[in-house]
Amino acid sequence: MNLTASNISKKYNRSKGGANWFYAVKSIDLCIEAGKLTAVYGRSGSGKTTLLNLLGGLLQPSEGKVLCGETDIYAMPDKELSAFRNQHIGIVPQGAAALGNLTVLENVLLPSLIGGRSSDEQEKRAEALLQSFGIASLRDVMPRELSGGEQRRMAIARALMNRPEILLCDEPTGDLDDENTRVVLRLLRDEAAKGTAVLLFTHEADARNYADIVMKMDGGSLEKI
Amino acid sequence: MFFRMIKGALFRQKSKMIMIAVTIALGSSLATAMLNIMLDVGDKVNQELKAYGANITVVPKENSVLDSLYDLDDGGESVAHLKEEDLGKIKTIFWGFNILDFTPFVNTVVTLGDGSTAKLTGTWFNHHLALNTGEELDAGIHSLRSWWEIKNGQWLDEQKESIPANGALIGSALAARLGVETGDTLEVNTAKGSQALQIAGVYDAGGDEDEQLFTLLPVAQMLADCQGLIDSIEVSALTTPDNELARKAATKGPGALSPADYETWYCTAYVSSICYQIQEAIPDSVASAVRQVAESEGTILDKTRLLMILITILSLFGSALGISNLVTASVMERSNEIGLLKAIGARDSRISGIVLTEIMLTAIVGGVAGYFMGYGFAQIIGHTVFASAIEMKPMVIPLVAVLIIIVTLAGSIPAIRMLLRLRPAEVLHGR
Repeated sequence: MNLTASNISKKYNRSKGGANWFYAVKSIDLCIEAGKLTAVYGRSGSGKTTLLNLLGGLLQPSEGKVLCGETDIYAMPDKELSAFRNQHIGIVPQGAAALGNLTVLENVLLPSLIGGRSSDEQEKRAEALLQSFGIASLRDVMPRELSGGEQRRMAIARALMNRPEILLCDEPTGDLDDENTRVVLRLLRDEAAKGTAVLLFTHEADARNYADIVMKMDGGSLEKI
Repeated sequence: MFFRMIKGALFRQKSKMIMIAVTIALGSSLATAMLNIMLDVGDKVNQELKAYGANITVVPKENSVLDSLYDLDDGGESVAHLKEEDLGKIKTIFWGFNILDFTPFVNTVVTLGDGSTAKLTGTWFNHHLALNTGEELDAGIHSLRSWWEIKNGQWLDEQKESIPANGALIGSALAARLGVETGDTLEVNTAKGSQALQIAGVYDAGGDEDEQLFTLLPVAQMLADCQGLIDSIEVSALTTPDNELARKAATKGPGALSPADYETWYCTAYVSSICYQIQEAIPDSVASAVRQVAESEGTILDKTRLLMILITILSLFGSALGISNLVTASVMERSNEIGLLKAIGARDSRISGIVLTEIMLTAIVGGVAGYFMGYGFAQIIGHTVFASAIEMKPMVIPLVAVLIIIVTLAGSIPAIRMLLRLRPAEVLHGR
């Protein structure tokens, strides 16, 4: 499934009641293709996270459409969009995002439980993901006990739990050392190879070596490199 | 895992949850104490108010008619009488247990040694009564005139063998006028006889009664030549404040009530229904409420209850505010996790359910603790204010439970609204 953004913009009004508009994302057309890893570079404040939120169904665009396959995700009611996101879009947020009172395995299982799928098969899937990401031995550990790299791998495993067709990653290598950066990028490359449309927002120069398509974001606009 | 998440959240935010439980416990304890006192206060306040006198007077029907026709209430000798032997029947009426005290009166005008006259009243002081029902009680003016101050001497004690048969109490104004003191003998005369009264004490009633003499019932009966008869009875009864039904029965008579209303009225301790039952028990009598006393009791009771309700409402409102702040703070603290759940696809209803379950579990703990604290508060208030225990009413338990649920839900509304407004795009990015 491709993820297509058609002329999307997100603007914010800087002065309450006035008309001082600031465009965080400006008229972007983009297609994240299935089976490809698209990397978007950009410095802080360039609008990367806003674009990810727009593409992930987390932030309503001011203008334009976001299509997942043929489905206009923002035409759906909130309840349906939540279920759609749960089934089709995996999101790896910036930073260490985890439920602190659940173990690593439970955190990975979370999307399937929220989607109403709870079975041994799901648990096996979660364990397999942890195994392939090299953190199987940490399944019963609490997230606070993980290193930064392990937390990122757990977040990617969680995002892949429901076998999403689209994977959106926001700075997944943000504060990792070189070794962990390479591990994470390799995992994303492998996922794209399995047919997932992967979008990676990063500062990491190494990411070029793993990406099929490389783009640069600046001032809310996107250009292909 | 749902419960694991809740358990984890409860333990991870232990101090906040303890604060919420304490807030709920405070509200629940005050609500428990106030509601129990409010439900028990009727009897308690009534008992207290009974210290300030009788609220029903019983007179012969003939006297009542004459008094009504000619506005006679001179306190002198009666035209008609009630029978002394009927006095015990007052305790046999349907609301007999609500009759706290009563005393008969025989009034006569006596001529004193200096030629002046004074009103002499024969009554019971603390008469021991053994009823046909097997019940025994002490009745008399001693407790019905508890505000009298005995300036010197003492109350006549009918239960002492040594009580003088001609003992009497004299009002302070009359004693001053006659120059009589405790221990003196005062000769009184009527057309029917004469008697030397031995003054056992001088009282100060703060009213017209200070010009009177009070003596034992047989002495007054002898002087008024009405042995075995009495002029009137004062009754102190525990009553329920009047409502529309009671007012209708009092003004239009019980005959105007429908059978169902009549039954309700008869089986409720309204002052009018107790009067009606006294009239049924004592032939040819008219029992009437001392309206001012009855209404004052009702007003005081209503105001006391209103005060309790206001305290309950205010304490619960305070709890709701406290809960609101604490739950909102808890949601803010966990906004990142809530944002993550939303990003993964959790619906608002599911996340709200998790937060509400946490709060309701905390509320149950706080509410139960508060109930027992409230039990303690109620007993402290009961013993401090009414010098007796407060009876804990079972109906307060569901009432407090419902109030706590309402307060907790109401207090959680701002936090839930905040949770619903929370955008994962903002919180996950740390805004």
